[in-house]
Amino acid sequence: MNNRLRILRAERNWSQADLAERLDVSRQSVNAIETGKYDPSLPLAFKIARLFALSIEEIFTDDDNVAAKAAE
Amino acid sequence: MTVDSQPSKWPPAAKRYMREFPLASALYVGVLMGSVVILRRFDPPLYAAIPLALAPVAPALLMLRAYLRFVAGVDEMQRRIQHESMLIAAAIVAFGTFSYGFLEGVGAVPSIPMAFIWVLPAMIAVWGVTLPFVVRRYK
Repeated sequence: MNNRLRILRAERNWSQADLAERLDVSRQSVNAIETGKYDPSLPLAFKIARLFALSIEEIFTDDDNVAAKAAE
Repeated sequence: MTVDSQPSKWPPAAKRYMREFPLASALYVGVLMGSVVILRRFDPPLYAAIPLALAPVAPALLMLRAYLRFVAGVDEMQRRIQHESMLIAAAIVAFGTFSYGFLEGVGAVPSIPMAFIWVLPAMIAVWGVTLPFVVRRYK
């Protein structure tokens, strides 16, 4: 799963530690989500979406979805 | 504003674990030593030897409790790391002892006296090896 978390975080000039604190998770978890090593649970994805005032789909992109759109 | 390279603060669950686990460990060592000394020195009858022999299990359960409280208190990715590393460790020890048993049956390896007592320490030791590997997968 791809995501725009790093970009959104950079736009707000937040460090990984800042975002981690806002989401109540570890900095390592923020890093793993940003690098695509870890896909967050649905509750955490909603929390991230709420924080940035966006929908989940505007932050996270399913790989299959990307492939399907590319094929269109 | 904090920077990315700043080491993260210990979460409350980790702080609690670092307080509870050493206490439980110290208690375990104390009870184990007491149990061994009494059993060896006084050679009590079986009805007294059984609770004395089992006494170290109680503080060992406190160590387990400290760990479970730690796992319950960390974030979802940290919890997954703990689950995965523990599952891999359990599988390695389970299949290792399973295979050893078959080899023991044909006399290919020596029989280990009191073999069951080594299962828990083996799981902890193997988990110590699997944990950093799983942690690296999420870095």
